[in-house]
Amino acid sequence: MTRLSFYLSPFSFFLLFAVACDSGAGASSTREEGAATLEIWQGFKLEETAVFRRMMKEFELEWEAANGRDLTVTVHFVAYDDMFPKLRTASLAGLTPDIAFVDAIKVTDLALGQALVKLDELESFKKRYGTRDEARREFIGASFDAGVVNRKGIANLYGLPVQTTTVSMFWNRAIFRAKAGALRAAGLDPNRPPRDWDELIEYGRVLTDVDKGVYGFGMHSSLWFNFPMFNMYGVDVVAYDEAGRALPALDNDNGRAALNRIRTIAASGVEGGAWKRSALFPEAGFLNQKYAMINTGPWMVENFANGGLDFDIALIPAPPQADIDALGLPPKAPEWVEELGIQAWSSSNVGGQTGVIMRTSAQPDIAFEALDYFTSEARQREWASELGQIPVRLAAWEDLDTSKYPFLPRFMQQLRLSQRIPQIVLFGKLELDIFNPEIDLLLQKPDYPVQTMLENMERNLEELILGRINESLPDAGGGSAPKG
Amino acid sequence: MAAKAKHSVGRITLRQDLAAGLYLIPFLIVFIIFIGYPVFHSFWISLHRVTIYSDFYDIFGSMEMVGLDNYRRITSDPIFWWSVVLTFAYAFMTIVGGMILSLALALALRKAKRGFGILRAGFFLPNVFDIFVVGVIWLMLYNPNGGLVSMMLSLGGATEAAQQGVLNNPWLTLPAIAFAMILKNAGFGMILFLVSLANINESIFEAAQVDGASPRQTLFRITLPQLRPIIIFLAITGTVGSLNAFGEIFAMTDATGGSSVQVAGETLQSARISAFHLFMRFNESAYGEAAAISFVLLGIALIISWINFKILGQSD
Repeated sequence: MTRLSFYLSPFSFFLLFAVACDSGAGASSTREEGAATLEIWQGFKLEETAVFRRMMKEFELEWEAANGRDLTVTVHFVAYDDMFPKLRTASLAGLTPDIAFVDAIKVTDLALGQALVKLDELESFKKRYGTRDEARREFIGASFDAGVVNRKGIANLYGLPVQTTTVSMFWNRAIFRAKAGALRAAGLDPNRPPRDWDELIEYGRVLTDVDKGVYGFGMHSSLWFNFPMFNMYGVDVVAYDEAGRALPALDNDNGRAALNRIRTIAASGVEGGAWKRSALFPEAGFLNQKYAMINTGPWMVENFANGGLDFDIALIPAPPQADIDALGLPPKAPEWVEELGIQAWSSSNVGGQTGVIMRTSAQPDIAFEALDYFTSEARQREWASELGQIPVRLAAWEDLDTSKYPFLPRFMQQLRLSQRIPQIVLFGKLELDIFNPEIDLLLQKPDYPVQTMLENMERNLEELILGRINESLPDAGGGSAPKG
Repeated sequence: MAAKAKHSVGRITLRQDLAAGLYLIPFLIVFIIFIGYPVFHSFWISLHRVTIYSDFYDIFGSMEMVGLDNYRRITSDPIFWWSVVLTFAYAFMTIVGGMILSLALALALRKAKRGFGILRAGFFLPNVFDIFVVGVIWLMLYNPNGGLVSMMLSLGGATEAAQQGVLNNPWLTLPAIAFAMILKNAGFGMILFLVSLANINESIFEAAQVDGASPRQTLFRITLPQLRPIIIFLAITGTVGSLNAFGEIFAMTDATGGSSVQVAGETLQSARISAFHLFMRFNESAYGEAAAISFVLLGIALIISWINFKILGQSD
């Protein structure tokens, strides 16, 4: 090697590297003249992805036939939990896709950061639905609302629900059957699960067998899994005053009642300590027949079925009548009171994925058409009957063939009683820094006052999140609200 | 003549320095691009704040300049100082515990006896496992419902602690994680001590024996002083490792930072050590505050290094 080449070789390497990077980026941005392209990042499971790809292929053909232009839809898989971090990184390089399917709780962060197209301002949306309210009537309300974000006092639709889930009660029929005599002796029906939380403890006392490590109930402690309790007790977490200021809404009778109920269940002796770190978590305990009842979502059905469990799904237990009367709680579905009795006061949360259009999309109207196609009645019927998914569009619920998925109607019923998660930025902070540490203390220490917990949560909520949102309001002196 | 020689030596040194400088240029370019600039840019970021309305596509360009406000907020944040205290506690437990166990293993296995090779390999093996794998294994061992550690606690009469779960007891969470990491890393220290022990001249031990030194005196007067370089090395790498400890906390606390504890009226997490705290801030896009935390931690690391240096300097 000559002296010159000795000195130049590192520079040559970097020059080649830079050229390679540049040519790669250039190749990926090449577009065929006249043809439209759509890039979609989605995080469905493998079999769901296959069905989704097929539907997008059908959309391509139908769109091409209707518009006389070529369309190429590219569907990429991005793991569900990695979607937001990947979007965050890709946005720095301006390489985000046209459409992304994001966790519904992340839509607020993306919308406030101006990353998304306002769907209700698109021509294609106006042509299809007219107004946001008209569109909402066609979808599951709680799922649709996850796409509506109030940014500096102006609400817009930033996404359509593409997959919706909810939490329901799973109960192990075999464990109930094995204790049928004891349940009957206690005046309980072994052929059905409990209908309210007091009854759950009564059932749990019979089903729990500490020597065998079997417990009546396995409980999650994270905020997301506690939303059903908050919802049924009418706890809003966040409220907005007339000036649009976000205010904490936890420290009230409803909040106290909900937290006391959680503590009562944990301390009743029928709960297996599933909320503890390193303990057998609820789903694993249910699969191993250690917990007779748990609250979880449709994503676990396949695992439990493959595990050979004899289980069923029911509505999450409602607040006991005494709590309903004391707090004056309204039923979640007044039209179902006669049919469901106290279970019309049951509630749950709504999770899932929302389809959003990134603001860098060159063809947001076509992207909206793709979203609308996937969420159309016909496609949602296929989505439900082939995969057991809950259709996001209400019209697809009518006469739906659920023969392959007998649990589907149970989840659909629970969804009708459910509420969206509060629209709040930095949901992760709310859960990990504000709620979870406090509920941990509540469950660990029997003498930790609920009132102290509520006051701490409100103070932290105000200081870490709401105060920052409110700083940006026009009457608060303007300016941006700091996030960190 | 002498002056000429001196001048010549000086010229040669200058030429050598220039040549050395030229050879260093490729490295310096890489260093400036990949280390120097990012460090400077991180400091610049630490003077800014990302807002909830910051442009997602231009997050760094749309940050607000806040001067030293991030540093002010950190230094008045009890959660940050709690994380620093926990980091020191974790460092103390892992470094001291790790050294004692490593040395004990090395002393026990130093002789070339039948089967010792397998034992050495066995003790070293956990060191090559991924930290998340080790974390999950220990989660099972600490499981309050049938985990081996909980069963042993029950047999030992500590029924309440066993039922609560070691990782669910805020005062045991960090020691439990430290214990797992001591066992994981002891094999590495053992190998270093074994090599160092093999290099000590056997005649020193023989002389001590002739002089009637007790085993305790031999350990503290001969063995440990001879092993001082390895002890210092393990102390420094252990300190750096504790400041960067993240994987074990993430894996063994379900990414929560541990069970909660009330200290001076604040609800704090029992294993939220500095690196985990930094991750939490970074993960919520609080880049300004995260960068400021990293610089405060750098300052703390420099102070510790300076103390180490002073101790070393005095001893040598």
